[in-house]
Amino acid sequence: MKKFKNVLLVALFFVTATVLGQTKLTGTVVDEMGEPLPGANVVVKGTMNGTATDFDGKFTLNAKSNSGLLVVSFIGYINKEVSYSSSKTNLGTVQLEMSNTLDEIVVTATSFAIDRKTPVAVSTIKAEEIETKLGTQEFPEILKSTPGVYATKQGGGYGDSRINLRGFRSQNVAVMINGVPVNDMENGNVYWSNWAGLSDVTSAMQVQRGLGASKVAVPSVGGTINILSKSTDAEKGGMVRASTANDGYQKYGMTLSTGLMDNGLAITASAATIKGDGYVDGLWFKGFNYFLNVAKKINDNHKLSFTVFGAQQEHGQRFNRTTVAVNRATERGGKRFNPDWGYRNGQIENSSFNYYHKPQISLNYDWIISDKTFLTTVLYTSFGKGGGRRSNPGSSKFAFGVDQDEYRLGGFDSPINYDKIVEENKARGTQGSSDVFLNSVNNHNWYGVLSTFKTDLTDELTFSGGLDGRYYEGIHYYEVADLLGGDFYINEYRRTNNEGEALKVGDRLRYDYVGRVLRYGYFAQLEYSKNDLSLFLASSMSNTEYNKTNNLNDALNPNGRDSEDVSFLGYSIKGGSNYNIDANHNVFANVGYFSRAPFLAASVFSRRESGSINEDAVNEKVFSAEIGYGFRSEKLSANVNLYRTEWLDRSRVISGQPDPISGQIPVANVTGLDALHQGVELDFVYKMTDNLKLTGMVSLGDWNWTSDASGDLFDGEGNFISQTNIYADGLKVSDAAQTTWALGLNYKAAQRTSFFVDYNYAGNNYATMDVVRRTNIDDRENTWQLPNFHLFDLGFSHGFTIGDFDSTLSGKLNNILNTEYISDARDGSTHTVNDSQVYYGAGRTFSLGLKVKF
Amino acid sequence: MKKIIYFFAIFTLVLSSCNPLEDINEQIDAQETSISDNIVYTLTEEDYTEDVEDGGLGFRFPNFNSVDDVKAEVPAFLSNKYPVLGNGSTALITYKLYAPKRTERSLIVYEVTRADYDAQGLRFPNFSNDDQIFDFLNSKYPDPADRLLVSLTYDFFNGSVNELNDGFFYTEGEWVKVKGLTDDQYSLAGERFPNFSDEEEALSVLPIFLKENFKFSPKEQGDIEPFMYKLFVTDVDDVDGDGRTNDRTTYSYVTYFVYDGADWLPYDNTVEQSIQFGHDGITWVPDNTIAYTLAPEDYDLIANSELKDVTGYEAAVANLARFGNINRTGSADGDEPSGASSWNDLMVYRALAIVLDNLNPSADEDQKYLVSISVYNGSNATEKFALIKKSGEWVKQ
Repeated sequence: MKKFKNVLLVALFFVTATVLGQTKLTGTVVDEMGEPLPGANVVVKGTMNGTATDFDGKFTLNAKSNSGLLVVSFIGYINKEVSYSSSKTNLGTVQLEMSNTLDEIVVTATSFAIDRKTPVAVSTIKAEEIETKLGTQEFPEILKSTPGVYATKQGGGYGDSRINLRGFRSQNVAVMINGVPVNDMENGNVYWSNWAGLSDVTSAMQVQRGLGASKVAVPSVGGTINILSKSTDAEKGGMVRASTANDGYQKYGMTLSTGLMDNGLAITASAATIKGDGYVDGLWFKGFNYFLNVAKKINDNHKLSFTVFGAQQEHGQRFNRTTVAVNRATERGGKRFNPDWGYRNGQIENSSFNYYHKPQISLNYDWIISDKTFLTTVLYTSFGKGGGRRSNPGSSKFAFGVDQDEYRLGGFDSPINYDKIVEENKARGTQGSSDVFLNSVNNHNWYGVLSTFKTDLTDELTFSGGLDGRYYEGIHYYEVADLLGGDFYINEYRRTNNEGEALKVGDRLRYDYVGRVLRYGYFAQLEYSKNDLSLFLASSMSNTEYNKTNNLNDALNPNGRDSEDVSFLGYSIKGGSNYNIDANHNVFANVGYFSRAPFLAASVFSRRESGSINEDAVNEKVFSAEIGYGFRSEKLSANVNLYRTEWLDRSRVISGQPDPISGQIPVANVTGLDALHQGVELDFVYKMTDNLKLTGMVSLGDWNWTSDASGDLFDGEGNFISQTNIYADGLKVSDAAQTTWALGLNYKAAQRTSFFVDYNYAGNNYATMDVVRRTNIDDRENTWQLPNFHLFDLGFSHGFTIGDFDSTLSGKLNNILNTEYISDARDGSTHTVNDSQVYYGAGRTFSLGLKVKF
Repeated sequence: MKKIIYFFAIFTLVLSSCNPLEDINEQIDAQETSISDNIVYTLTEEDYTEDVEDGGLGFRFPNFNSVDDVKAEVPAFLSNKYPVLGNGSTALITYKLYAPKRTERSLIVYEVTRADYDAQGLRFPNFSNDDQIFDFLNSKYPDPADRLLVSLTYDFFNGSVNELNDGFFYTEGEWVKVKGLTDDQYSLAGERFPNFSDEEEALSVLPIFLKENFKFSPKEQGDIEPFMYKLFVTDVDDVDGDGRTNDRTTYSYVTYFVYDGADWLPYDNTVEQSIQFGHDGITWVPDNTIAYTLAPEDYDLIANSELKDVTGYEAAVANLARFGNINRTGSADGDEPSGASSWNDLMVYRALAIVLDNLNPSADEDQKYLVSISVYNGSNATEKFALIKKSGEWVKQ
């Protein structure tokens, strides 16, 4: 804060100086660690005259006046004003500070946390790092060296990755893109394949663990991932990009940007095509990513920005997991073996396949009302379409088994012989196809508004508040996708309106419903900031309203197709404080409590086919507290923090056995299921020499279930059937590594050439279970513990010029030792390796990319 | 720069030897228990004759000589063919057992005379039942050599008197009648004389007569029947008793045919049999376990059995009656019935004993069953229980 003030003082002093003439200005812009900042904007204050720094952070600018001020800005950094004059044209090194990560509107709208001010545990990853380190990894994997993160590729399909934060699954990790929350509103999930192209246009990514700085009305338990795309900060010019990688990976992309034009307009467009055969057998993919931003600076006080982005993709999936023993019995081995693909007419065909396109469109309006007050509003909408391939309930020919090779091209572990299945379907004639492909379709229409008003009440006290409203419609059904040679498929789904009918491609089956979620709320925050102390207190309240229309399951919906509305009121209150002891040390603490509406999918309605409302579903409650310490010096910056998150009253609806006669499903509200996630996180950056940088992270989690729970099962008429118990007390929270650490070494061999090696460790990881299945009182055993693993990645980046064009060649080797490891496992009944169903992580992969700027 | 090299060296040295799955893989390889399946397989001709290295049994002929051989050889074959299967797996193997039926050649050709009928004290010069023929043979050949075949031409009264030519084969101390063809049947087959002129012709025509023969007493698939036919060949054994062995005369042959459910085929000296093997965790062993999945009527049987009135079972039986499956939401352990709607193991075994007694009341001692039952344990699932018959009672295996 002090530094910031000093900078302002200096700036004010020079603003008075005026000299006439034309001046050629030069300089170098560097970041807080002294590293050059390519792409930083340098503009003569009060004019549209500007340029951007090159790869080495250097800039040259012809100023029309003999003296004045340059405004140097870069996303994620505080703007800096530097004076120049005819006697001072070489401005030397301009160091930007991270202390104000972004300009204020961006910070407020996206809820980016500010170092040494916002009292939360945070890691920020800049575009440059994403560019060099991502390679062909999935977007969440870029965060694997961040404390509390466990990210895997799951089955290995394009975009099928997942991320857990502090042991919480994606439903409890808020993902926001430019401040817009993108978690699925029905179930909270995040599907990364929808945002596959985002890495091309990301300017910064910030992971806030725990309560976070998010001001939206619906808080998350595990943390918040903020992704910020490029916008008006984009420099004029463009780039082409080409990458190649293992297994036929090819990506070509182009980005064009006008920069900020004299008419106040800035346009950035980016597109890329991507395709590949996939590291895992049969997991081919192709996709098209696009991004368009049109920003209009109407005047200093009004700015409009319109953004459209999306990623249309389709890819093969590995759906079936198998045991370690079966994987070992396959010729390809667990890393590459996939039981769910084969050949049809000489082309690759998949039994499991995924296709989605969910473009997101937003319009931002920033209004600086006065020196002290501004309003930023975003209107957004998204229209998603897509689905995943499934097989019909009676199908057996796609099935995988160690003694089943009848429909395989060779042994049990060879590709599926779809031609044989097609022939047999044809021969069945009027019996219809025995084995068909269905699509599980999930479309959505989504509309939202998020508006934040901020005003400085006094020099020290700031108020911000706003509205968060969203409406979401999810359209879900199964449809016949491919009859595989037959003339029709006889619907086997019981208690559906068209049970036993002969269905053609496009006919819907199993279920066909629309789930609707309307959520609206407010948030308010008071911030006090004076000298080295900052304090905040925030609260929010929201109402979530659900209803549903079931079109295909009349037998299960005796009261009609439309459900009643049901609503849940949630609220949160949180507060925190940061104190900067001196220029090197700071401490912070935060504490919060919230009560959140249960999800539609798991709790409000007992099952997909039913519209009967579980009126007794209860909100989940979370209490979280955290303390942290930060150290900043020229050579070393480090953070350490301790957290304790209690997830209370995690409610689940357990469905009982359907009554054999009426088909009515008895339900029990199981309440009082508690979990405690606590741990210590440490991360640091140590600049050993000017050319050598060491980074590291240790994250020790201790995540456990802390209670048993029970509920009474009632049938449709409210008659008590039996008590259902869940025996979870003392069990480890599953699904993510509780212990992770990472070390990274970056060596700058020349001005524009650097090498890095990254080491990651994951341990204390328990095979995934659904806690509501722990109904046996005698079974208190933890799920199977996955073997711990160590992985190494290696990479380089080399800058050079082709003619006048600034170019970068970068390469990456992931898992250089080709280590065989298990990344995901689903627990079996014996809680041992014998019946746990696993996915192996990928072995050694490589990528090579060339970027040419113009 | 040196620093970095050291750093890399340490990084790589310390951790390159780390294979996270080493222990797990060793464990898996050591036990091989994790995958079980129920195989039903019929050995193919290649399976018998292919070299052991190629996954076959390495036999010269596509059959087994004895059941003991099957028990000795098949386990290695199964381990080879299903390397991933382990404990709990079963394999029902259909194989061919060599059971030779030798083609016999008549050493005696005899036509029954009037004097023979008289000597037997018969009123008419013909036989009217098989016992009379056997009596005649016993008196005519009081001390026959084993495997003596008599090609006998005789008159038989069955509504009317017909001349028949059948074989009578002495084996294991008894005469066995083998049907032959009558002169009329030979002429029906297009023969000028009452015999065939070569074996191939005989084997192609005989199945038609066999079919005709058993028209009114249907045979089952796999039944083996002998049949006698005559060939006009060189008299190498001097059957006609003329002292010459280079003349030609009529020989009778007995050959075997096997019924395949539709037609009679020449018998290739093997019979198809099935044997079950089970995997005991180390290797495949002959095993009589029958895998059985409870049918809806079995649940009804339990629901209506005496258990419904047994203390501690009432609620569980009522739950079964309502849902048609076994509620396993409670504890599986216990020396007493649960008294609740959930079944513990003790109760399940008692219920399954009732089912098996009903299903297979005459089961042999030591017969094993692996019974799959539908359970509800929070969701619908299947559980398996192994039972064995000991001292006439079905008990936990």
